[in-house]
Amino acid sequence: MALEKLLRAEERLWAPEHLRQQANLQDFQGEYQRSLEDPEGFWGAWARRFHWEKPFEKVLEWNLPEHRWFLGGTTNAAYNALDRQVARGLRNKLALLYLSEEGREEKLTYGELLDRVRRLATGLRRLGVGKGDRVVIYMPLTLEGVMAMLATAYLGAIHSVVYAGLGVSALRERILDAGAKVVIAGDVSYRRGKGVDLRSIVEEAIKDLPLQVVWFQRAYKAELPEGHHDFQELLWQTPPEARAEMVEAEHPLFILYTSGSTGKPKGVVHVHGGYMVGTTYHLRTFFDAKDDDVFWATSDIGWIVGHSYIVYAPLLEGLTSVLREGAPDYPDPGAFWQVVERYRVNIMFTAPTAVRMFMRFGPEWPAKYDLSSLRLLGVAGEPLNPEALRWAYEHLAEGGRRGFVADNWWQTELGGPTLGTPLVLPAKPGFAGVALPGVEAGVVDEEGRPVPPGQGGLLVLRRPFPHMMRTVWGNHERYLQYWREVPGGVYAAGDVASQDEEGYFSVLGRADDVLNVAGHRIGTADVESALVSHPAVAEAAVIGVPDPLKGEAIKAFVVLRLGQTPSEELKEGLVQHVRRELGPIATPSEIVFLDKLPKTRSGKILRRLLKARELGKDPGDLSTLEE
Amino acid sequence: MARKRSLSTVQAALRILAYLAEHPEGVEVKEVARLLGKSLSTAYALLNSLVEEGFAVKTERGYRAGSAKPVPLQATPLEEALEELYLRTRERCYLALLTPEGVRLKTRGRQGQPHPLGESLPEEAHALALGKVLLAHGALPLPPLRPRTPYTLTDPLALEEELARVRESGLAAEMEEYAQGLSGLAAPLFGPEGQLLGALGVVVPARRFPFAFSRLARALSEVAQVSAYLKPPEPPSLAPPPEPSFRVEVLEPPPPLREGANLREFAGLHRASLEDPEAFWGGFAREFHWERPWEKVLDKETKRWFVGGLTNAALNALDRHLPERAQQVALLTLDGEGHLEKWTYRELQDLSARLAGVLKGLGVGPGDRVALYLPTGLEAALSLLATARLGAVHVALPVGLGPEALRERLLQSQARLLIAADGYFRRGQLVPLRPVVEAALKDLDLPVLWHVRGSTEFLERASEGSPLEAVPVPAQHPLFLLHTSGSTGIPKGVVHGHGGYMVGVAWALRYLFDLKPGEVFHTTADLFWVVGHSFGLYAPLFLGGTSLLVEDRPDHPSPAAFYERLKRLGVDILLTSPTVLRALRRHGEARPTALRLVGSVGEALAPEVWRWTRDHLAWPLDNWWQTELGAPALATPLALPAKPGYVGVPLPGVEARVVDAEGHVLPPGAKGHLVLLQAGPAQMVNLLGGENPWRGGLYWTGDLATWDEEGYFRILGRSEEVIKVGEARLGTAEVEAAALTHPQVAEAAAIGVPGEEGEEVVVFVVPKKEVPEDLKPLLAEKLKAHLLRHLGPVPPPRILFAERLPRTRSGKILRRLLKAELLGMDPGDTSGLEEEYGTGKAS
Repeated sequence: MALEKLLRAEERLWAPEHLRQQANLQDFQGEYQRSLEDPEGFWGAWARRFHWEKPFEKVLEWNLPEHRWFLGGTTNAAYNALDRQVARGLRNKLALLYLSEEGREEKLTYGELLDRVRRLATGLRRLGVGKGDRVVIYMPLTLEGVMAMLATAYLGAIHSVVYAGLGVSALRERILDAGAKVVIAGDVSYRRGKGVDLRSIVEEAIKDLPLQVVWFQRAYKAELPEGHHDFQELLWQTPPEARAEMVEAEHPLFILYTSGSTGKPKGVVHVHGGYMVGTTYHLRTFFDAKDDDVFWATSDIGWIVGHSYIVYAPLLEGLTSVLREGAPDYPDPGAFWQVVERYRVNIMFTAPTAVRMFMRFGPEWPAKYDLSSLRLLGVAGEPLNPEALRWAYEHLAEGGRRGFVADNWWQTELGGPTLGTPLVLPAKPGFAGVALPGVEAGVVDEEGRPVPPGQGGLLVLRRPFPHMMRTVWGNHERYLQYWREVPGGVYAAGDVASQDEEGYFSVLGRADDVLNVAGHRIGTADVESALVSHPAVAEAAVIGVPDPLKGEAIKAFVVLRLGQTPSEELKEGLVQHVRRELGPIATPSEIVFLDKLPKTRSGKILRRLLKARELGKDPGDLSTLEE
Repeated sequence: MARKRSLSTVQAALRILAYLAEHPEGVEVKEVARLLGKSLSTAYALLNSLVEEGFAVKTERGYRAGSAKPVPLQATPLEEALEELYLRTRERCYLALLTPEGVRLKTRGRQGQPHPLGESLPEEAHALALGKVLLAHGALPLPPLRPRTPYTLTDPLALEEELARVRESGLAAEMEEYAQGLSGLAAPLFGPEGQLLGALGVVVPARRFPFAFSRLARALSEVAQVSAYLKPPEPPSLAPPPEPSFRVEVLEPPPPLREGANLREFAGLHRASLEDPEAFWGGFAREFHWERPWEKVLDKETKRWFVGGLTNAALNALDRHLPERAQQVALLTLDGEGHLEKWTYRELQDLSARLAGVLKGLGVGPGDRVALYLPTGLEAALSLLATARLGAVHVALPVGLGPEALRERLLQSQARLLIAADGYFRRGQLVPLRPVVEAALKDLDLPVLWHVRGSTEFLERASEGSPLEAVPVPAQHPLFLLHTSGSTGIPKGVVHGHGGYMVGVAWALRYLFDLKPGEVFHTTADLFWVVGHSFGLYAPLFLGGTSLLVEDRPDHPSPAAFYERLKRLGVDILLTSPTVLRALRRHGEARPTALRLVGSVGEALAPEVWRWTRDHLAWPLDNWWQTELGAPALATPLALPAKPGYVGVPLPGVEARVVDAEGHVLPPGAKGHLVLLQAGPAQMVNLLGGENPWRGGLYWTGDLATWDEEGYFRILGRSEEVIKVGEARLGTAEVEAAALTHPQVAEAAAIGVPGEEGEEVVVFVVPKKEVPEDLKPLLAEKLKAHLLRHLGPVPPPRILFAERLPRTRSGKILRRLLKAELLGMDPGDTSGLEEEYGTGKAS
């Protein structure tokens, strides 16, 4: 009785009646049941919406932890995103809408995009790129960046986009790990009205590597050495000859690197068939996209959200996808809302850190603009704190009279929304939502035993879905670890979560030494190694501290080498060093010099202690602390 | 002795034919190029000339053998004579043989030397060879030339003198008309019985001709004797009589086009459209949004369509497509500065609704006239759509109209508001318009909404308006007033309505021009002419299509840019005028585009231009209509075979006849006045300041035509442009079409002037290449003979050369102006004249 009362009192934020009635997925419960009872029928039916050169014979083969989907089928995700749409009569429909910070727009129709992709694919083929070859893409958020991805996929080659903002060593490490044949790179990205140099990062990262490089040059056209090519020349001097290479459903579509606690980034591999099927399913059912919607994922093509919801899913469903290069609050805090008004954006997908930033600027900014087109705001990347959800619901969705805020949780490894609050269910502040169709999720203890509702534990998934990763590039053992971490044959997400009586999950944070800075996963080990690579540093330890905007900020504790003296200049030098090595997102916000670091007797750094001290909490069991 | 021989064109052609015969499945151009060891363009040229002669057929992926069979050349000894002549002279030599099928030409020249007649041998080259024979018939006395020429090339005057003497001898003739700077010499070949077998000739650059003359004449006269000792290969006969004046070719559209067409069966449909307009047009019209449905599709008495229906053309052009086509590109605009922009249906709907709000704020209401003086582009399109949305009437006045003409039209239409641009781009130059507008508006109290070029002021102003819902209006409610181009004197104001016009133009775009979803349509017509209204803007938007609007001239800065634009922007269907097609043809080889169809409208499409269009661009869709009719009335849809020269058959809703001056129907083959018994739904609803073309139940088009047994019509020209020469009645278009069959002629205009036998035909000719002054009389003679051959027994026409013809901006030749200039009369209203004409130079 008391519990019921409690539940009733609980805060629930509903989508407006008219949106629920027009939702693509009305019967969520029924759909969810079907997806678990008959996964083959469920995913097979969705998959048949696409073009299969050779139809698949079997939907799923599941030998824990290996899962393979749409066996026997051949297809191509880029073909389905381009040729199929043009054949459906969408040739003159806008596929992509690029916006710069100053409002310059470039529109590209499906017909044009197909033409460009065919040209670029022809050019890449002439550089020797073929099925299965890896192409590293280090491009700003531009139409050309998307073309590079699609052209690679068109050939059956595998793209690995590295966020153009990661530093020299991060880029080099990824090029080497992927074994790339070609790098497609931009010379500059634009942010806050200024050019950000990418060229020198790339040049340093590829030093002495036998690579072909395609340069997308916007700042100036440089004299290119042998083996280096100009993007525009490659594009326009080749005819649109290439035809899509039809590949097996399980053929890798891309590798996307993500940080782990171990230091070495993991190359998450997604495949043509399953990824295409799963990401589009959630675009339609979770994001509730309609055929004529303008969809705007504010992420970057360097992240999984950009792969799934700037590029692949919107194009595969024939929508118009918006990409905007630059900072969300430049030239002014109304910049985003101006875009929504001007282009009548229907669905927006952004990150909690952005919502918190909008919150800080105040409701007067969105209020200045006509947001009447905006039906749904998807938010993912890190836990969305209740205040931010309430604020977004109030000021971006007109308190539920016009739109809905759909929190969701997923990972690079998972390809698309996994937990989330679908339009037809109420949002509960502090909860990401329920397990979405195809997903069987749970919260367990370290032994794999389910924990009672309301209690914290490890977030696990009990079965695969089509758009879940297949392997870690070049390290299948690392893939197996995901499924072995927790007993019981489950996938351990590496997050700590709790689940309530109604099946809503609250994701609390990482279970490992991984930081979540503004939605980006950063391994503490990465930052520590970057610091230690500085000649002045002997030892370093990194922790995450709460940050009102970014969720977490990086704080570094540094022990200097003998003979080095702490100084403000040195601090600044270290910050710049990490920035250069790892890129701006991994910039430490604070550096503290220590004489020594707290360590276990076995020599492991006790970050827990540093964090506890920092937050003024009980550091817990310190029995293993070195004297 | 093995002599290394270059592959002559004829040899190459024979080799191709053999190859085609071996490959019935068809061959690609590049295979042919490889086979010959020649360039792709050479292979194309050869194949195209074979196709023209019927030896080969163009297929979807290449070429295959045609039904015509080559005549085997049996005159091997004569070929040897050709070789002999070549070996003696080491110049380009020709052998023309008379065969029962006509003249066969063989050539032999130095390796690597470009062929002086170009890559293909026109029929006229055969004629040249024969002409030489006649000139040199009989004997070859050496003319009074100095046996050993003392001149050098450094003495051009002496050279000129010597050349003149050679010309006077009558043995040599200039070949300028076929190839610049060439001279030729030929001798007849007589058989053992003294019969004419053919001719042998040699061609050299004109500047060397005087030097070479004696040597060549000697070699030629000796070698030409050879034939007298031969057995004649076949009983020789003279060439067949020249072609009839108009050879009718019947050409089926390529099967993929025909089978994939939106309209596959025609006759039944046409019948249905006349017998049951309610079902035929009603069914199609129901695709549109009607605020209130019509009571009657057609009231035959009043010629009113969709009686009782309420609708709005702008709503059907934009709102009807939302939200399904919200993100589809509706218009692609390329302004004079080269900016290409894409506008989606959502953007156009939003901007035009807001602009309508602005117009309403300026006091414009339903039925009010809004005059527009803007170049083709987004602002013009928005202004048209916003005016229509309000239920107001747009009066589009093409830029280029002078102040008087502008003022006259503003007064006639009683405009409430003028939307004007302060400039437009012509050939890359900004032409200011503000002074023209200010002069036209002097002492008039007419507010102006300016579109300032180079600023976004107009769009900003528009976007500040509050969006206005489309105003439903009766089907007959005027949508626009448009002045017809001034080829016939004082401009008339043609009024079109919302309902019937919408149904008529949309039907034509889908079923005649065969627009498919996802295709890009482009018309080179100015947006402010009826073709621009109907097919640049309204019809593509009615069907939810995509239309490309270009401000500047199609061939600016070059024809290559035109082709490149079509290719880059993926234009599928082009609607243009014979003027543009002739200009492109004059420029030469086209570049590859993705065009599927090319519509031609504005004047008669000559068979030569028809064929060039088919070979270089895409399948031509000739069609005939007038501003008054709003949409094509006669045309050749893809469901029917084309007869180049004949525009085609009456389209659904249209019934046409050829009648005499009293309105009696004339039999097929007779020339007469083209009249319509019924016109389609897009016909005008009113006419201001002109004589009603409906007289005695017939719509008098003012055009002369003939028709054939199968109901195909051929337009001969305006009836006021008929020339009465002696007993004969010649249409200007007829004479012009004949002139255009001559390879030297790029454009032609025929007029009649008072002469000895009633009227005399004067043909103004624009040559393809510039002709030196002293050669003009020669070319004129040639053309005269050419025309007589085509036109039959009429007094010889007079030929005048011009650099350019005066045309209206819609591309019609202003014959009235030529006549006035020739006779020194007042040319009358020339406000519709294209600005680039300047003075029509006649020489």
